[in-house]
Amino acid sequence: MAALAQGGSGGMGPPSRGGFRGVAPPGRHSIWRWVVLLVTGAYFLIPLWAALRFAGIGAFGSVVGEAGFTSSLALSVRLAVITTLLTIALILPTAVYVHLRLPKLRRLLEGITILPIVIPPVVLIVGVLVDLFAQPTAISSDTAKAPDR
Amino acid sequence: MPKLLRGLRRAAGVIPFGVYVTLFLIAPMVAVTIGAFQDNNGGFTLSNVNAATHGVYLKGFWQSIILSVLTSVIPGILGLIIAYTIFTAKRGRVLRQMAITAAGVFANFGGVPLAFLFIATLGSSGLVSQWLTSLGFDPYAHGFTLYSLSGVVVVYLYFQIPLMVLVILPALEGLRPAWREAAENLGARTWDYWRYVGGPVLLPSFLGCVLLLFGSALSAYATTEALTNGTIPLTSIQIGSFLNGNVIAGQENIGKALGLGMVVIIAVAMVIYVAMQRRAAKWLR
Repeated sequence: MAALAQGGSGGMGPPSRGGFRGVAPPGRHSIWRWVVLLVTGAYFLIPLWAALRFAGIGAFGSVVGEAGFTSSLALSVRLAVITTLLTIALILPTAVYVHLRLPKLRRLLEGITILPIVIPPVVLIVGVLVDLFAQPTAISSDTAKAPDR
Repeated sequence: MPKLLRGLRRAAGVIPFGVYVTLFLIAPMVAVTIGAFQDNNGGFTLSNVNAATHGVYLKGFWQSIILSVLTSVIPGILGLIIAYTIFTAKRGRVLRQMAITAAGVFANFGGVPLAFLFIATLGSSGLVSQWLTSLGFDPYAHGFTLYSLSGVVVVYLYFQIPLMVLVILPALEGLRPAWREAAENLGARTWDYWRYVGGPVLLPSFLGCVLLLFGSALSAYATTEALTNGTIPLTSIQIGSFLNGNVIAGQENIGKALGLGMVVIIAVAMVIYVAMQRRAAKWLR
């Protein structure tokens, strides 16, 4: 996601002084701006607050002592770190190389990077799990849930 | 021949990425496509595709498409309004950075955690449901439940709106302030500007972004599964049940036919997306 956002942030920022700020002259829609920002903030923050109330602050203390908490947290962190490092190691050199040497491939690369967002992961999992790393027609719960596949 | 060799050497830098894409994107899609046309002994058959386009599976496709259209058009419009508000804010740089960071976080919400957030908020005894009830409007007495299609739409907005803000901001930055100034110097009112300048320039990339949201909604799976336990027959959930082995023996390849169906829907959407993206780029250059 961050990569998508970066694409535009190099654009034209609003001039700091005496210039034109954005598309609308400043102050023209200030009430609407506040309404939009407040409603948006409420929609995104109230569920977080509600979940916190439902779980209860005390739950955070007791969940740490729960059996298996440390190991599953460690596994989550390990997965996050490994996938992040692998992604950077794979994409950063490729992106730099394509940008400098093969600019014609940029559109294609952009297209490919959008694919994982729009192709249902479930489809890919069916393909990878079942056909590349297991028996051809064996879709069983064992195959799907085996942690080492 | 040396030209070919030079070309090959230049392509060497993209080999690792190419191998990765082949193994984890292209190969699975090919496997799904082939499997969709195979019976259990590996022979050619159309019965999987036939089964996947009838009865409960056809209903699944329709539900998926309806949900995806709703959760791409609504967040598309709301996301555009929010992004525009952020983009034109005074001292916008800090606000914009904060919004982009927050949007990046929220766009990745999903699955059980997101379902829990909304059960705590709009579930039958959720916080907001209780607020509304104490104000005299009980949403559950008026036909709303979180565990229906309309409930799922509300939940999907939580990651679809931030995704829209992220992808539409670059397009908004392509709107040159000078165009507005020029339009106003020629006597255009706000409506005229949006009707004849801003709207036409933004439209292609807006539609492209909406199509991206469509794909994202179509492929979302864990959130609805966690929220409804499969009472809404979405195609992605149906594929998931094939994956978990909850099917009659001998029908496994129907799952692949369903997967192929989703790829076909996405392919159609992608063709439109690429065409529109190209037009948008032509306008903004």
